[in-house]
Amino acid sequence: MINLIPPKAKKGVVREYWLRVVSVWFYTWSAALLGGVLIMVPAYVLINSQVSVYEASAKTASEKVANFEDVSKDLTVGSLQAGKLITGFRQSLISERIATLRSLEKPGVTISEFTIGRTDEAYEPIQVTGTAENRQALAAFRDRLLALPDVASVDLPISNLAKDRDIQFTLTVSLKKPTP
Amino acid sequence: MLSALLRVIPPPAFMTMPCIGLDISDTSLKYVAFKPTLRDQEIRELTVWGDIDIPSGVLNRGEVLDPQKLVAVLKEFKEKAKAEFIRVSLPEERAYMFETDIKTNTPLKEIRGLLEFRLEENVPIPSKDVLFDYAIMPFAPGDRSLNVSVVAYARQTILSYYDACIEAGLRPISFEVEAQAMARAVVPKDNSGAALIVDFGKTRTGIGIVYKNALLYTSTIDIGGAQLSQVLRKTLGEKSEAELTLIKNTEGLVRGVDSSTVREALIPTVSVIRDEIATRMQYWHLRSGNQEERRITSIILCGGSANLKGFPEYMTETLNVPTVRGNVWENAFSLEDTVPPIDRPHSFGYAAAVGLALKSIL
Repeated sequence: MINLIPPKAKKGVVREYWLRVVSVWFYTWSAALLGGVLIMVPAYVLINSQVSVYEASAKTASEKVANFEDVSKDLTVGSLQAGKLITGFRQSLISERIATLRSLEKPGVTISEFTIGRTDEAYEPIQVTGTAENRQALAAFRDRLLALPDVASVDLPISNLAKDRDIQFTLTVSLKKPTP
Repeated sequence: MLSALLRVIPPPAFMTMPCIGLDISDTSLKYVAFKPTLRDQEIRELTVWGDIDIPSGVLNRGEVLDPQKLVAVLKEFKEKAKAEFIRVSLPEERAYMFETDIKTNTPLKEIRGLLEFRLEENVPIPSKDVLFDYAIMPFAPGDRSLNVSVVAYARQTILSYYDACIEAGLRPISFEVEAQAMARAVVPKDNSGAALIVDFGKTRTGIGIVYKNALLYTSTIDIGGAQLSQVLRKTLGEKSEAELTLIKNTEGLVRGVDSSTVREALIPTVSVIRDEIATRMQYWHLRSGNQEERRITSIILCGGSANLKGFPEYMTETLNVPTVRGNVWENAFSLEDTVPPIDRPHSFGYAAAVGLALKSIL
């Protein structure tokens, strides 16, 4: 189309036109951006409120977890203590054990000393020291010990049988493991 | 593809730099603006129109004699129309037009340089003092040469209008020949053959020949409606211009029942116009090598004096070419759907302004 305005003015018109095109694009994108932001506002508010709810919930949960951990530790300790009490309850008392051993002291055997060790589960090892008139009396005493229901073994060192009479002995008694 | 996209999502009208069509003649300034759009097919909506008288002595045959008074008129227009961007018509009297052929494979960048050489053969002004533009005529894919229509004006003529507009605070978007703007308004888009546009003005009659929507020839006859009024004054005695206009528009060239005084008074002057038009038509047909497709198939009358009663019939009868008064809203909207705010007798004077306002894109 013929247009006879001076060339300089024509360039100015073209520049103005492109400026307007760019402006229109700019405003269009700005409007689209603004529209997008406005559309996203409700979602943003909702997400924010959800996050704060979840944060509060997480805080409560972590507090509960901390309490639970404390309680758990206490329970563990309590459980161990209860276990010990139960084990202790199952074990016979030292006095009873000594009385039983004493009851096995027949003529010909004299018990002079008891040494009783202690583990978490039982009173052992038990060492019985004394004097036997002869080997038969010592053997009989060992057999009586073995006959006890909770005795697993009786260790009689060979050195104790070196003499025939007035034998100084030290027996080590091992007990059977208690059944859980 | 792009045009389909533009139809669905039209770009905002702001991008078109909404402008007003401004037709400056020796005696008046007429302006028209439509609601801006980038879609050519859209029905247009008239938003601004009006006219302002230009005092005598400001312009003479398109030459600016008193730039300061022209600036004052343009400022008045700016104030009334709230205008910023304008499209302005330039007077045909000052235009130099010619057609030339260039090879089809000529690069687009070289066409202007090539035409500058041809200016010297066709325009009687040194090429450095000329501002010109061109339009390539529609061509078929197999054509070896392109037909180019060139319009040139003296640089001084264009600058005198441009400077006046700038001084008045207006920003011209385009300058084009008045007849080209008229053609855009009144020539139907599906017009076949060439159309001759007669701009029957107050002081002169402009002639333009449009072929394939391009203005290819212009000429001016120094006879207008004022000369007809002068002739009537001699016959009917001293009367006001309004009374004479009424007589021209109601009696004109039609024989009266009782008397044919008006017709007989007007015929000698009108026949001169007809003869001048016939001469231009002959020249056009001769220049076109009597190509059938370039023959003038219609004459369209425009301009403030086109209301002369019986004028189209007289032209049809004497030139043997169908002559009609132009519908200036032809390419703006359908008169069946829209009632224009400017009545038909006055609308002929707005043809150029309407044509300028119809140009919606750069």
